[in-house]
Amino acid sequence: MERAERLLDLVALFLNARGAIAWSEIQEAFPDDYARGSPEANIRKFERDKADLAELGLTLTYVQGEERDKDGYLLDRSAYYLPALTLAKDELAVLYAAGAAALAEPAFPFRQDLVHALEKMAFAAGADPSASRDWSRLSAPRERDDSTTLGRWVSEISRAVASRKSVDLRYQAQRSGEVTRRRVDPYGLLYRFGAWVLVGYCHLREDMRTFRVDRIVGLTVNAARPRSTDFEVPKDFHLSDHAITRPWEFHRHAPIDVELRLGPDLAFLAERTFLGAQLLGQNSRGVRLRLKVSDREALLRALLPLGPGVEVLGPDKLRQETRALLEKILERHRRHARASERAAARGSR
Amino acid sequence: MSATDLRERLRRLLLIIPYAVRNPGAPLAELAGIVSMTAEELAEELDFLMLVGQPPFAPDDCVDIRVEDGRVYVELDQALGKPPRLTPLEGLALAAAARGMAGADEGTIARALAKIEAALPAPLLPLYRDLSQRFEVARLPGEADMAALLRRAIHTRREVELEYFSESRGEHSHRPVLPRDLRYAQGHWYLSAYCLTRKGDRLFRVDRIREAKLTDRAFDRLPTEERPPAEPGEAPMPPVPPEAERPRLRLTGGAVIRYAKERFGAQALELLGGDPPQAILSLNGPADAWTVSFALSFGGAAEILEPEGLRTALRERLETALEAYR
Repeated sequence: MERAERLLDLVALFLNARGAIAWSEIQEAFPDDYARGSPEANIRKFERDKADLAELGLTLTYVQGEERDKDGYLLDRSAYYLPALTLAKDELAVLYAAGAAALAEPAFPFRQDLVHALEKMAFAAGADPSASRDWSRLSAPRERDDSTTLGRWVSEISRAVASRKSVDLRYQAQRSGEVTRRRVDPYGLLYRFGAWVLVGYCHLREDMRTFRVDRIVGLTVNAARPRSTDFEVPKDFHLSDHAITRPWEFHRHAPIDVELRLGPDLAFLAERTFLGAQLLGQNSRGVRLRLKVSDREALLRALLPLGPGVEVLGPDKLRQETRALLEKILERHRRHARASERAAARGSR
Repeated sequence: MSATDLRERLRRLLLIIPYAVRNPGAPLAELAGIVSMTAEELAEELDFLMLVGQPPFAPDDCVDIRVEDGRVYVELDQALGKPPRLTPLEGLALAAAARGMAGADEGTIARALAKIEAALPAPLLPLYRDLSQRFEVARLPGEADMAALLRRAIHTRREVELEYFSESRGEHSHRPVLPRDLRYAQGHWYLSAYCLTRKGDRLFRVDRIREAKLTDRAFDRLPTEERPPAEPGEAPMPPVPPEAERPRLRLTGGAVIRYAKERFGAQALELLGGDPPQAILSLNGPADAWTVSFALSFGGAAEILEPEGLRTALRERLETALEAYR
């Protein structure tokens, strides 16, 4: 019997059953599938089917019968059917909009599951068939996860996080470009500021590490014993502890306190880009802020495009570095462009 | 058929019957649209569903779903007439999207997610809760209120007055706009809107909007969207200028060259080699103030080579910035 058909038959069988169904009865009902091989092979086959059913939302439990009840597999029907969802209009709109935004991303964890969630939600909310597709009209959802490398990695990492399987990475360091191989136990996955970040225990460094998913050049999920887990997530693990929040908070050096002045035009950024920074004072010249920085170069890269309205006040060393950087870029743009290009061309030979 | 494809097919099949039960006599084509299939594909799946049932598979034990005059009727659903609950992964994906991408107020999101949680199978709630802590799609907290206001404006089709800070011009401007939608790209929310001052479509970075005021002025329809704007606050991308007029930047360092290659493609780069390596990046757009900001965002690793006017603009900006340090 075709696998898809057998699985649906099992759904129908259990939904219509009045109580537990004994293994012998299941074998009788599907003799070609569960009664032909060795007893071990038969039960293994059924266990595989049972796992697939669980992924569809149909969870079978094995019960020991009491008195006249028999041992067997039982499905709780009330736990199976989707109940009515009394979502208010604005709640439904929020979920549709969020779903559409997520599906328009090049990568999203469990994006196919998200599509199904939106469809079920539309159904349970009593939306008419045409309305149920509104979310897909809000933006252009991408066809499949695996159409991009990033999509494929995010999809595979998500599954590995959920099923607690180790992954083998080939990872390219941003600065050096060097590629290393390492085994990682994926504890969690974050999306921050446009980047997916894998957080996990790195067997190479024997410590917790974060990995930008877009720097992964190769990934395989540990294929051994696919139905069992490879690791436990420590009880004290909190994803938010590893959340990389701002570009200047990547751990490149010990954190330093940086003081900035934002001119009147930029003062509103204290509540946006620099949200969470300590407000030191405010006057007609703007606001003064103090923030923790552990990648000073990234901070300067973020500040330079903001223009003259932002000033590094301290520490003095960083203030001097900022000034030196501004002068260096200025100097480079003072040379005649042609001469500069010729110099570049010579350098390449 | 791969395990994933099989699961996909089954999930779709388990939704087809409920839709057909709820809409007796629905046209085949309409039902096909709902489940993202062609009418032919759906007809084949309906034939397949006729085989499904419970042992001993007598006619009354099987699903009876038939097409008459192009309309779909379900006679026997074999208890498959209602869809299954959300699985933990479905709930998880929805929750991650809602928390990170909804751009609405926290209260609405929390209420919606509580109801979604109630639709998960109770025995699997611990698994769902455990997994929820291991995926996080985050956004800037400050953006949430602004995004909620803009979303309200989009839904109610009302004009919004923005006080917008343009990074590349280094100035604030008052911009009455007709909001089109909110988009998320490269780590930022953008408002796509028709700008009444500039008479054209513009993108506004939400975290660069200092203030937004929802007006009472409703609008019927938006002018048709032009080509998507190239960069925030700037005009839509004009036809690509001839190669000789494009801005060219010299990049220094392997990391920035790799970044540029990912963002603009290998064809935009001319590799010069050297140590550290250098490359010339030809931008596909016009030479404007945005290019100056873009070059500065590389720290010291980018130099504008052409056009000369942009080099001058960059020098002027740096000279002004340096005054504070002298």
